[in-house]
Amino acid sequence: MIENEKDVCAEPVFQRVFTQYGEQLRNFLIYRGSEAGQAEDIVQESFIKLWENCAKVIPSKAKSYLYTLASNAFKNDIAHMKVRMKYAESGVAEKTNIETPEFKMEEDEFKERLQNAIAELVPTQREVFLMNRIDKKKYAEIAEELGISVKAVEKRMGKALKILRSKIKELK
Amino acid sequence: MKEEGHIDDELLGRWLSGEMTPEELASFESSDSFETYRHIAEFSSKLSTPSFDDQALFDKIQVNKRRAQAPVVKMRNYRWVGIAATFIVLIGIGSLFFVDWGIPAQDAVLRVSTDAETKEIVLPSKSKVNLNVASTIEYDRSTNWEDERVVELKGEAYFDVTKGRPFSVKTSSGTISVLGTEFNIRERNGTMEISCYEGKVKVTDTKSQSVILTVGESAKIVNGKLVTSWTPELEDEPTWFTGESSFYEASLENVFIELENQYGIDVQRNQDYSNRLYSGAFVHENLEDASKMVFLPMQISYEIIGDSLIVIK
Repeated sequence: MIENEKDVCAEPVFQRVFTQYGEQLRNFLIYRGSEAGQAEDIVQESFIKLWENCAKVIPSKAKSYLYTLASNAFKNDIAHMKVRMKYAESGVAEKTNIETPEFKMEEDEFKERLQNAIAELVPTQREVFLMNRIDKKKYAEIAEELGISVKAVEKRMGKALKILRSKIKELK
Repeated sequence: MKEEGHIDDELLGRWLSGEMTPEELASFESSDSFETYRHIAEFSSKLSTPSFDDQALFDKIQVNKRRAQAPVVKMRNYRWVGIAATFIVLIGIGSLFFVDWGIPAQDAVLRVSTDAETKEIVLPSKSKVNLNVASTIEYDRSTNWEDERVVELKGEAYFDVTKGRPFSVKTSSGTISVLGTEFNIRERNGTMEISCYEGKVKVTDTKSQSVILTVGESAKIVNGKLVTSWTPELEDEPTWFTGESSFYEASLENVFIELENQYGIDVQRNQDYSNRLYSGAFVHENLEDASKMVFLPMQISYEIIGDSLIVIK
């Protein structure tokens, strides 16, 4: 088990850290406003820094170390994009109308409004929201990775939900 | 704009982590805004990220981290690296010769197939696989299971994966990678259905689109493309464990194939039924009952003659 290793210097341990966290770290950078290619570069850079400091990092701390490295690298980096996520869904599902006590609209329109509203969230809300909705992370995991409290995650989730709801409802 | 029943940010946040108390939840669910929030939660979980080629990126990291390291390696160490490299190459060539002359290559690959029976297999890492009828699983015994756990599947199987290294199942429709969990895969006739019963499962189709499933969630890949709008209700375990095959919006052709597999019969049809969708289940121990369960709701007549089931119309 990875947890029993004393550091991340052994190749198999290093590779396992990459397999476990590489993609989610890339996703996190995208949620924060990075373009996909740039996000991969930052992931690469962060793992090389982790390797250079491998003797100082125990495996259970590798994850938060990587998130710290990546978010610092991105802070110092230049352009933040407006992130518009796409739906994984494809294929044959029939289109239905969405009816709530608050509005009625076609499914496609609702989905589009949701995409736009997510793109307009501030990065700190968007990253928390999408880490939960897309990567299906528990609040405790998100809190650990971002170095914030679970309470703060709850707050950001709640704020994000409220803003999304009001953006979807408006101008109907 | 009228804002009804102000809900606190933190309290609303606890809704998606399932931490509202039953009273809080009841009051939230009865508010006008609830349906809107429910749709936001549902559709946002169907968003995806761009494809991620982890092997390519890891290779780049491997190259660049060596470069980053190079300056601190002393001359003397270089020689050692050279010797070590030669050694590895020699071992590589040696083992190739072995494969050619001695042990048959397929010895390393273990293949378990079922015909009309189901089987339970324990993999080297103590993970368990329950193989349904007419299915095959294959894995390489010579690979180091501590490093990499990969099996190939044709047909249907339930996996109970022990924690540890990443575990993946390859099928012709796509790859499932797992993070310590229980899940079921049914891959028949170009359609793959994956249901997650514990933990988390990542499903990647042949076009690198992927989705993460949590407990109670399912996904389907049709002709290599991921469909996440497919949401059957799951029991605690796959129904084939208790002697039934169940389907949710499945092509009738695939239901016929399952009938053929379970009963070892031949379903004769003179038209293509792949566009008709079936939701329901059939039992495994009695063909007459099973046929009724499939054909009555679809209003199709049939006849059982010997080892054949003839679909009339």
